[in-house]
Amino acid sequence: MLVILPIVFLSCEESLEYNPESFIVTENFYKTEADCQLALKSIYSDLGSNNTFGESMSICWATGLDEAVMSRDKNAPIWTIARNEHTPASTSIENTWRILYRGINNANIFIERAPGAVVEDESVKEGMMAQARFLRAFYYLELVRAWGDIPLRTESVKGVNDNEIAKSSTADVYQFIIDELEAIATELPVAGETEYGRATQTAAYGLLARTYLSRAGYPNRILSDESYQKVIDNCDAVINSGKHDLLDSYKEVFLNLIENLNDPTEVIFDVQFSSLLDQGLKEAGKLGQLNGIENKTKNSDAGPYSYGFIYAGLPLINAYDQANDARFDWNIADWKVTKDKPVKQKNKYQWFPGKYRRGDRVLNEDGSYSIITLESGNKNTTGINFPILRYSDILLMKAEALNELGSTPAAIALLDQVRNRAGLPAIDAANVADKDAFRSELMDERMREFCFEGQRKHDLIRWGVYKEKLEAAKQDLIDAGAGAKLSWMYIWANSIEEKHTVLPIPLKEIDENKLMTQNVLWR
Amino acid sequence: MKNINKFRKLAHSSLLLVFMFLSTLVFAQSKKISGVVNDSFGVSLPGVSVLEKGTVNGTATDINGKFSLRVKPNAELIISFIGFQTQIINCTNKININVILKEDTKQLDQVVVVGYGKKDIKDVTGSIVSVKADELAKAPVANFDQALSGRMAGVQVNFTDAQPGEGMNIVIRGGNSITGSNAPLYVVDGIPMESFDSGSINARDIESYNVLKDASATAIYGSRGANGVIIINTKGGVVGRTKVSLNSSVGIQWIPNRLDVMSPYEFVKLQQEIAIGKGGEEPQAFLDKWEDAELYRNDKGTNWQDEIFQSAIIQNHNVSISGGSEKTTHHMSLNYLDQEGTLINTGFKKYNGKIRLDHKLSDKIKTGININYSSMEQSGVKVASNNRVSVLMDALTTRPVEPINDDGLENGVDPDDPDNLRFNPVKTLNNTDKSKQWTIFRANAYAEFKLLKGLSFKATGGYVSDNRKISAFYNADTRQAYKEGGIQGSLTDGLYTTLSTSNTLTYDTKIDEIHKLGVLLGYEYSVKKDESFVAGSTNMPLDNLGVNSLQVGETPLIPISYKSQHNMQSYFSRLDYTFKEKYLFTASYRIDGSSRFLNDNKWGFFPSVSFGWRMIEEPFIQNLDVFSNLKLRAGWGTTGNNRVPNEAAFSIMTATIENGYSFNDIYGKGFSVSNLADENLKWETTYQYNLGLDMGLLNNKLTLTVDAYKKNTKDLLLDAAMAPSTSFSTIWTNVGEVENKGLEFSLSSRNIENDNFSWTTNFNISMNRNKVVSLTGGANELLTDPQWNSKITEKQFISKVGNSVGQFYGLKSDGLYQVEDFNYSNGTGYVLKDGIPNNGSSAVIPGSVKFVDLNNDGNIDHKDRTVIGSAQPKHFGGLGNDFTYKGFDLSIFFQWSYGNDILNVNKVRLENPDIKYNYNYLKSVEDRYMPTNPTNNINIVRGEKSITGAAPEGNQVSDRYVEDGSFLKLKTISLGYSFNKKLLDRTYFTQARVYLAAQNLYTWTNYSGYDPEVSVGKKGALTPGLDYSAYPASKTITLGVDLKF
Repeated sequence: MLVILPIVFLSCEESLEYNPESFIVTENFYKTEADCQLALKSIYSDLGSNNTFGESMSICWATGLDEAVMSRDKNAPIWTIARNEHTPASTSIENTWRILYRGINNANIFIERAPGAVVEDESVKEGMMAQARFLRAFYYLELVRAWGDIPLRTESVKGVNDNEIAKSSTADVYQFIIDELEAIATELPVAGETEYGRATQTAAYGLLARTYLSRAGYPNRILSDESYQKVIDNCDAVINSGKHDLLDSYKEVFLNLIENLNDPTEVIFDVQFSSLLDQGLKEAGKLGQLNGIENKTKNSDAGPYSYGFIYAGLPLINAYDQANDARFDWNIADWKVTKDKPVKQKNKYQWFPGKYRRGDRVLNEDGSYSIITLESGNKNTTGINFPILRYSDILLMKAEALNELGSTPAAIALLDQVRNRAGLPAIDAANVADKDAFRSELMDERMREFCFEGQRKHDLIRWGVYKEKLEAAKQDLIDAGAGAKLSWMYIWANSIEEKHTVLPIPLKEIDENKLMTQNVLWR
Repeated sequence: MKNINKFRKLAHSSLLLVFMFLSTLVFAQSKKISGVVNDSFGVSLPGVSVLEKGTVNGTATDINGKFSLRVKPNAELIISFIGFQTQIINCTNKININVILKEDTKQLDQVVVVGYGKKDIKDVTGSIVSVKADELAKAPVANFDQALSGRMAGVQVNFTDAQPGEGMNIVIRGGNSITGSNAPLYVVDGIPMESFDSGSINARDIESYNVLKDASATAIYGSRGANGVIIINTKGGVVGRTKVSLNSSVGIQWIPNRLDVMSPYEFVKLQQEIAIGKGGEEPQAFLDKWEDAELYRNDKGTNWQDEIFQSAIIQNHNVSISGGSEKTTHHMSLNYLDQEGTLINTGFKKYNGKIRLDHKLSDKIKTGININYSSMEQSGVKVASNNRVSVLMDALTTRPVEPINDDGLENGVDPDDPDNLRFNPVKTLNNTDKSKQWTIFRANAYAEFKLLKGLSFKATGGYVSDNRKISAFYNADTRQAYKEGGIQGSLTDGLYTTLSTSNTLTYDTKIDEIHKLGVLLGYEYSVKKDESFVAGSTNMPLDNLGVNSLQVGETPLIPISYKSQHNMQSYFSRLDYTFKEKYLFTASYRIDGSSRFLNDNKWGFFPSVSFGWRMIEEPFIQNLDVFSNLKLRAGWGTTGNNRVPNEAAFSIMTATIENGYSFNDIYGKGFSVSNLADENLKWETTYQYNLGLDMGLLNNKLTLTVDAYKKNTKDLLLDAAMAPSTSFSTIWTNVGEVENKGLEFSLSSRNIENDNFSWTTNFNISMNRNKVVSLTGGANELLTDPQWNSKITEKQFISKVGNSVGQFYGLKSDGLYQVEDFNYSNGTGYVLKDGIPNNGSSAVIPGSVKFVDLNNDGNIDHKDRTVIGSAQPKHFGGLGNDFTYKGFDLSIFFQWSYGNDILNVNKVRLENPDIKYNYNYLKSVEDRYMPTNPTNNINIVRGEKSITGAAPEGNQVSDRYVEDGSFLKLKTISLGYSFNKKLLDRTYFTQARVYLAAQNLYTWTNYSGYDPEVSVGKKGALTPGLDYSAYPASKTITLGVDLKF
């Protein structure tokens, strides 16, 4: 009998080791400057998500106001805020909330890990750290302005236990944003000396001014006088930097954004979009498509296509000195494109926003018009950049703060700078001599200057006139003949309550985060 | 990697290990007896076992069926052969015997396949159920799994939908996992596979099909046994004359029912109503286009269902050749199936080829190789795959008639309307070239060595390569080409390979005829590699070249590639002990390691024990003279589950096509964390108790098996929801517990058995109760969106502690608002009376959808949602009757499910009229609310102040759409005739049978959709029983012939 026994019971513990082959394990990242630049870009990337400034926040949430209404009776989730029909269960709200926090979490990871990276030039590392902190502060400002009390996450999410976090008060969140921006402002790159699109020192000062102004206004009213003074200080930091100014032509500011001409003179910070679908990349937004001049020319794959989902609001149209204000011609189009020809719109309440026009009409010799293309991205998406902070905003923020602190004459001078650029003469000072009169004029001036730039709703809430202005806008529509059959055009103004000045905490957040409670107004 | 390669070499060589020889044991004999063994046709049977009773002295017949053996003078010989009735022959005074063995299909049942071996059924202590392979072959279906529904107690086999080529959803004893897979482990010819395609095996090659249900049976498969184990062994050759069998069948399939949609007249009336409701220029536009609804009163129009449904041919052809000598046996087969779909331009085709060779190198060494190759192709639009774009919904909602004056739309569809996702369904089906091609190559080889008496070693090596190619091409005349980037196509290529080895050492012995002992030791290792690649391009200038020349496209898609791997390593052992054939004991222990977990969590430990008491051996039972079999079984064991993505436990970073940003207008990629990892992720464990009783009465004419079980799955591998402020949507973690408990009865009765006529009945019924015991971090409920429509994002399913997983969740319908609910004034219009809640929208009118305000806060919102139904059946089962009369055979098989609900969300779109033009609805919408028709059922379209009647966003799914899904199906019926042997003697054939078979012939149900056997929710166990745009089930009738020679 011959026996050879096999020995197969080998121990191969190591054979159970696996290293992901299509991904990089996080511990192995953030080692080099290149790693850090890649990670930093993903923090910027969340600015351009469909749920942030790609579509939701820049267009849909900026509709259903005195400056913009929907042109369709369309109850899709992304438009629910534009109709003021949103609830804690609205997915659009949850999606935006999640993406803003994604930017924050990516920044938190960066802030925790990047210090360990080997970067030759320490100042480059500092600059990257400062940008991550700038973006985190920026996302927090968007959150706190929209929702009020929110969870303040300053460390990255590690696991399932990090679900639970209580809300921080609005005051604490503002303080965090202020502390952060003040801490890093001087470490950021300088406008004009870095790539266009990056956070700069002046962007930090501008954002600080916006933060203080927002904190001083309704419903916060936190340390108002002190805050207004800080608005002035930070605006001055921008004005005195010498890096920024008004362009001579209002129209040129937006042509630069439409045509991606990287000019940092007036635009201090913006969200960058690039139309790269033909390379298979999703880096484009919907500016000028959803909120453009309607042009549904058949089967044009590229070119100035627009669904024209938005009409300009009547209060906006009526606020312009239509004959003299250069901004009116650019911001409002009383025509649309049918079969490659501009056609005049019959009703005033059906005029389109022209600010981000993808195509323009030009007068031919024979008196007819034809259409030229300014931006030819994809049919459904565009590469038009979205302005976050412009120099005229610095001027008007400072003017507002000065007025609130009683220095109305100084404020008028700033207002006139903005008017003059628009081709208007200096305002009759007698009409805006007192604080309230100036404030009222400023309200209209900001709308004329910043319409369709996502500022209006925040402004109205800050001034405490949200309900009043919306109801007036509804009345304007009714008076203009958009009667019962078109009542969906002012559905957003039908039952405005105080709760509509703040968004509800997403239901999912309350479901999964045991320490979370709903906004008092939405309970 | 080096280690893996090293190991792979070792695994290969382990198959080739050369082993020992054992000299034959020689026994002292006293007389030589010789003989010949034939079957009832007079054909000699080689390889028949001849054993002297009470000894281990034996031999086997040679190629001519002859044997000779030295035995004691008064010995009894046991003559046995698989597939034949065993005979015992007293050899007193005989030296030469002729034996005729009778074929016996029942005898096959006496041996049951268990993990890593076979067992005599009387020694089994676990819960195992088998299906006869020939029963599966009787049903006229494309893949064998479609014939399994209702056949086995405790095994739920359901369509998700009826698209040709789709696999069935098989759940054994209720779902354990919530977000993980509940699919059982398949062990095909000894190779364990987590994902097995039922099309990759020819139903007629299956020799045995066994399902291991309880932990004592499955624990030997340890980590992967928690969802039950299905063991399929395929046929090998049989020693003897080479037999050829041919089978051919051709049949026809059709979708028996249509949903009743509005007629042209009713449709046009609705258009008019909408136009008047919209006001302005709309009523005139209506007149310009349609003129007058009365003109359409007798118009038949187009029923789009008839346009896209078709009667379709199914054909199936098989040939197999099998035979062998004493040393070598072989089995070869080829199978071709071509199933046209009952929706135009869809279908399924497959080719299977198989070769199995077994060879005895010596008395001690046996080797074999088994090679299976399958090529399958599923073609056509995947009907249930997309949610907002559905060809079936397009067919149901496209307008049934063209207007009198051309409005420039194509069948009511505006290809340029950005919001309109519909498209002419006939064009969609005809111009979309989608195909999914799998080629699965499966080979395994073994070598078995008899080392010592009772001790043997078996090494098996297996290799599976599964290549999946998916191509999708949208010709010019498709919605995609019109609206989403022109003519476009993409190709996906995935290669999934598994290399595995399994080595077992077994020892069986008997001590003093009282103790029977079996020991199994084993070791397994497997490496599964996944690779995939996707490329595509859009904006192609022409569609002639299809996906074969993607470079003609003008806009590429970013290519995607992926590679991953999963390694497993396992040690296992089993001990079987039998005392006096009366008391049975089995214990097993398995240790599994998986590369999916980190550090100390890699290893899982899975013990089991079970006992059997063959009461029939007890005198007090025998004295009762009632039972012919009585056995009590009890077992406990644990099994595991590791079905998470290979990277679930790793925090990993990647860049998507959306992750990047431009500075200076120059784009650059960004990298961010794509998976939040729980580094402590570990095995999910199921603890199961089983108590079973096997009973035979009237000499086993009546047999009954009853099993009761309770299983608790702990440390659930849950893709748990994260708070949105964490920025992650889910994380794989171990949380919560699910319990399943149930009862199963199987009854089998040979009612009549005589030479000319036989009648047998098989019946089984199962009841399973499923309960969530706990959830993430003490949460009370888990809400899930089944994702059937990205615009209806309500979480329509709830898994609540104390209730079953995946119940329907929504508002309770309260009919419609009636005039009495309002105060009316000319200025303000209809204003709700105090105490009457709105429906979530502040604007309602008489005829608007109304809900019950459960929390009485005057508002209808998510807080008013409640459980509105459950997809879990109270019981389900099957009833089969088989008759033979002379040459005729008849099988009638019924399947049922009782007490389950269906969430019919088709009706959310089809019975919920809105103000959209050109949109058709179910006929029931004709009876909608109008001021002249104040019903309480279907909402008004639009009333004054342009208030719509439909439910607002967030409140669309209610108990209105929950229906009773109970059904009884005449699942399979087959009638055959076998020609008698005398007739066949004059031909080449030894057997010839013609048959007519039908599948899904009739369904008794109250369900209003196409078929109650449906579940297309995108979240598996969390979203069961959802019907939306499912491929409708077909009836099939086939005519076939079986020939053997």
